[in-house]
Amino acid sequence: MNIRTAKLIILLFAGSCAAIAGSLFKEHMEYKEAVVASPFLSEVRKLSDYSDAVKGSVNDANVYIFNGPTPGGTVVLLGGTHPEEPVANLSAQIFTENVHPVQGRVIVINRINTSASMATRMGEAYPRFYHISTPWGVKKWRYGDRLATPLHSWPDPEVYVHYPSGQNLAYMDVRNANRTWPGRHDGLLCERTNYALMELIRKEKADIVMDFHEAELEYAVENTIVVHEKGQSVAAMASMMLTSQTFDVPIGMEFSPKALHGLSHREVGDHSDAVSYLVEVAEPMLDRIRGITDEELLMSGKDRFVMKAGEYKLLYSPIDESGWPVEKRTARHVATLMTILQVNNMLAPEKTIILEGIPDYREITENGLGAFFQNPDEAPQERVFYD
Amino acid sequence: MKKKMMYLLLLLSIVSFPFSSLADTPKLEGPYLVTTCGQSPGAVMVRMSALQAGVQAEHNNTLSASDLSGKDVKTLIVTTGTSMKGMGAAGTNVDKEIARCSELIAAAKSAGIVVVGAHVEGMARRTDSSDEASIEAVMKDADVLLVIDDSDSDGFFTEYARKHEKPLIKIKDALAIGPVLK
Amino acid sequence: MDMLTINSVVMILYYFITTFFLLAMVRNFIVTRDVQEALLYAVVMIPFVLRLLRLK
Repeated sequence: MNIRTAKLIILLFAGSCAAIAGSLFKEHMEYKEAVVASPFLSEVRKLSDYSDAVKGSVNDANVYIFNGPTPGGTVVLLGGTHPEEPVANLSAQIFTENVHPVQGRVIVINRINTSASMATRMGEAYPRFYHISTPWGVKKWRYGDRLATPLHSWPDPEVYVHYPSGQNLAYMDVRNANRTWPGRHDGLLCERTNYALMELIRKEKADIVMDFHEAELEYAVENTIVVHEKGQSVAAMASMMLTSQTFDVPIGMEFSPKALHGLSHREVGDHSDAVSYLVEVAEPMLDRIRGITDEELLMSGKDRFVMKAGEYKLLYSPIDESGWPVEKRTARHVATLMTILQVNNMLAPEKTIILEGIPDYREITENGLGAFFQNPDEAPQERVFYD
Repeated sequence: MKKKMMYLLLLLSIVSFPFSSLADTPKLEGPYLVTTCGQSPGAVMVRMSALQAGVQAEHNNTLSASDLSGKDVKTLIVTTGTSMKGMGAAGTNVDKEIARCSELIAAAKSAGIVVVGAHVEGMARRTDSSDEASIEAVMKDADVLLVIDDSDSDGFFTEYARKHEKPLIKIKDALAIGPVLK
Repeated sequence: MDMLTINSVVMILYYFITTFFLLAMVRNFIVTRDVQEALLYAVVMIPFVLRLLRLK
């Protein structure tokens, strides 16, 4: 075979690889997630309605607003801060699709860092999508990375100097939507996103902000509520009630460190009147020691290598053969928020928020998540949106 | 008549069974003062659980020996187990926490205050050497130990109480703290 | 000049750098007479192409 023919074959091979990979990346990037808002939706705004800092950017998210008939407090729910933690997104969307506010207001953003959901983490072989079976078919979401993609925010600085504290953080954390609070108007993508979110929180006079997360079992801050000092009584009570009455694995509580900047539980509380909460639940997919990295692991949370690490007491969360299924993880987040509201209503009755239509812990774990997502093809089109 | 009496006794023993384990544990008396050795939220939990049971418990995460003077306190509860986030938030570390609490406990004992060493956040606060250090520092000087079932899931506190001949109050979970303080 | 503009300028420069190295690899691919080297150049070109197309 002469060299010309060989090169042609090589070029065809490499070109095919690039085309296949490129089309898979493109499909992931362009996939739109259908959201059927609850019938009690008041309005949908864009994040850029609160600040032009995100106008025209990929992170100009949908803001779903639900006003109850009786005045009360306002809670803002943030999903998708780290899109490699899918339960954060699913928990927020459970509220978007089911909530019936009886008193007070609920504002939900299903994905605050859309950019990070448009590509998975390099070198980790993550699945591109995850799926949930519903009574009407299979619903699909984008799986993503912890950080905004470099396609939308590049280059990273040599050292990321957090604004306004001046604290030095790791360079890539300038693309981490939970290291760039409270943000700045003329910063990079995540700084601008968080600035716009702060504007939303301030302009909507939010009383409570909840940021949903997941964490590896090797991480010490696990199965816990991290809270700004303004909310420590509520979080302590919620943690005790959930541990005593609802959860099989206890949920703890941690104070937000004052000297660690850029995180929602610190900066939202410091730069607004809202009390900021962040909740963590165990996601074995994130553990370094995990086995095969696929959708099965993501959804079931079952991994024998992580279990082995548990046997050697290397983990901060228990794990057994039943794993950490996505239903249980989501149910914990939903129940945690509802319990925080319940306690807050007792301690601050003037800021009462009463929500109906939200499934409880048992309903989610027994019926699965699919029962709580609506069919976008059959729903009234004025209630169907895409994230 | 004798048969009726036996039934009555049987019924009484069944009804009183859940409380029998508390029979030889000391009765705690207020007013209560609560602090933490390690800046974990355990002390806030004690205050909230007490509040729910209708008991007032004053809470101060940085309580020092000098704060005791002039206070009407009968019981000091010191929760153990550490939080790196909490210690970071308070600008302290485990050594400083142990020094503060040791001094505080000594002052409380000399003032005739009953000292309760508590561990109320489960195994999540028994993971590292800092947790171990705070537990050891407080429990060795405590008059009474108060722990939840999860904290003692490996029998550590039961064994500790037996070995050091200290009364142990063991409760289901943190929500059950309040009724014990009533 | 604000930070955002500087960042955008640097980002555009990165794309020029990517193009430069891609062209260099294309040239080497054309001139080489070694099949193994040609295969290596072709495979290494893939991420550069995907980056220029803003796919990864």
